[in-house]
Amino acid sequence: MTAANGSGAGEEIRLSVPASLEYVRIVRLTTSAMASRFGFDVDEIENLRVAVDELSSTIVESAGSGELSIAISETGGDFCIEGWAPIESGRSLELDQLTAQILNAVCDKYELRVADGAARFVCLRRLPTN
Amino acid sequence: MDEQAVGPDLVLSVDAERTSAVVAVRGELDAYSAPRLEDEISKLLREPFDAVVLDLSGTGFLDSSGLRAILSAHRRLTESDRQLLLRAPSEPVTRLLEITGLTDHFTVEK
Repeated sequence: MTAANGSGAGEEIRLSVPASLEYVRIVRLTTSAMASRFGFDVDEIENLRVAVDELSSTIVESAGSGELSIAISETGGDFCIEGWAPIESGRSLELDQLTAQILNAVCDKYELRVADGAARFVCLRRLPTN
Repeated sequence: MDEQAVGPDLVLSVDAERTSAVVAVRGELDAYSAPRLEDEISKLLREPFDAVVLDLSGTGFLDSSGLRAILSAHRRLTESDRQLLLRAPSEPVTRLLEITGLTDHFTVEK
């Protein structure tokens, strides 16, 4: 895990874990810590934990092997979580109705796609205004 | 009581209360750990319990996979004329049930 710089706006955290479901909890932990750092309250932190879990699990289940990479940053007033993992040729991302319903509730905006040989997601949540 | 650790973040413990099996789900029920709950339910379906109570008071995290495991348990028990009850669902569990509109789908033990 690395930080692009150490303080305030523009801070970014990058994390890589094996693309395996048992490591998604580490992504949840990191997201919780970062969300707290950016000033989200307990309920919002829980929403972001669920969001990153659902998105990470979805792309990991499509990934053949390799690493799940995560980048957490602030982008234009939004808390932004991006993730990607290599996807086996010919495989597609499957998002069922239950997962989509949850993501619609916990993200302001999200995207799941396959591009450049990787399954990718982006999740945005407006930063709290204090 | 029968207790098993499902990886570092989930412990399932099973106890008998009269004619019910109580499964305490302590920790995080997610895509990685949810299959173990399904396995436990499969084992309990072979036992002569009238009901399975899922004690969710210690469930610190639940996602769609965990929720699907609970829905599957409900369906399988109902199909065998038995009941699934939820006991003391934690805040994360309650939140996900509200988000998905499934609050009234389950019987919460009083």
